[in-house]
Amino acid sequence: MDLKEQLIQSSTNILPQFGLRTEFQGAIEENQLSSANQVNILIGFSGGLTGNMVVGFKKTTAFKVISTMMGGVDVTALDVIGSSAIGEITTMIAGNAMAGMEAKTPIIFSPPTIVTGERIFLIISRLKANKLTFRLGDDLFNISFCLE
Amino acid sequence: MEEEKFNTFVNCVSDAFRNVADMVAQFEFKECSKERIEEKKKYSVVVGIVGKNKGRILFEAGGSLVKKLTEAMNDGPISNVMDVYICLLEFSNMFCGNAATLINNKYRGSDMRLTPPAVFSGVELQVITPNIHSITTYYKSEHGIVTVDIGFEGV
Repeated sequence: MDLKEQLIQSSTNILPQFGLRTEFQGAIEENQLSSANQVNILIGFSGGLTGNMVVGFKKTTAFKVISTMMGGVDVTALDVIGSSAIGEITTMIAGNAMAGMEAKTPIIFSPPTIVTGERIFLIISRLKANKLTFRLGDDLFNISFCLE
Repeated sequence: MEEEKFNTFVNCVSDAFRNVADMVAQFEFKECSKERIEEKKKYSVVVGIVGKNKGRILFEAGGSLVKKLTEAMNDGPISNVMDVYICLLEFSNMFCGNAATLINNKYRGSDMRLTPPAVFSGVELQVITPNIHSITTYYKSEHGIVTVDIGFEGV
């Protein structure tokens, strides 16, 4: 299975464990430079595979994910605890996907970094990236990834 | 990560950053006290660190400095917006790679490796890496301010 399939499987397995029903919607090839979401979680990886992945949410969707993970508390801003929670779920998705890659050498990934703001553009590689879109309840979120 | 190794790496990154800026763009950066990047549009480059110690290097600069850096590296005006992002990818790869080599040579078995850089641009950009301890260094040049923040887990 390639990384795309692993990420689809990992997301649709892990997020429902937190009560977040997730359906894969489709995949596209993206230009190197692309517009990003309001909340982006970046994880880089090296070793058996080298590249980057970014999970992108609208702010309101990120708040819903954090709220669900934290037992339904009201989330209106992305504080340190919320960032930690959303970083952790991204690490779980990445870890689960990488574990299924059967690489000859271990794939090691960096700590998650959360980038928020408005009118964000992003480039994760000189090469074209793949973008996976998922439905999460009534909202959408994306996972972009690129292997070197 | 031992504090001494962490501080050594911060110094390696500082040296590599200033050397590469001087070499590729003839920009002279000097360390300065804490200063904000005032411009609304900001560029943030994140380079992940993996190996025995995990962390990340965060390089941030305002739009006008990044434009001047790109023009200096390209030896002329910017013809395409992509030039700016590619220039930042290259610049970050160079100084972070240089610093990782220095630390791997000094601490055998450190096996520090970098993940590819990711460049973000935007308004009101905020970058958070939870659960790391980091040190920010501020640099000033005639073209503006940049910050380099280095953070590791378990320091």
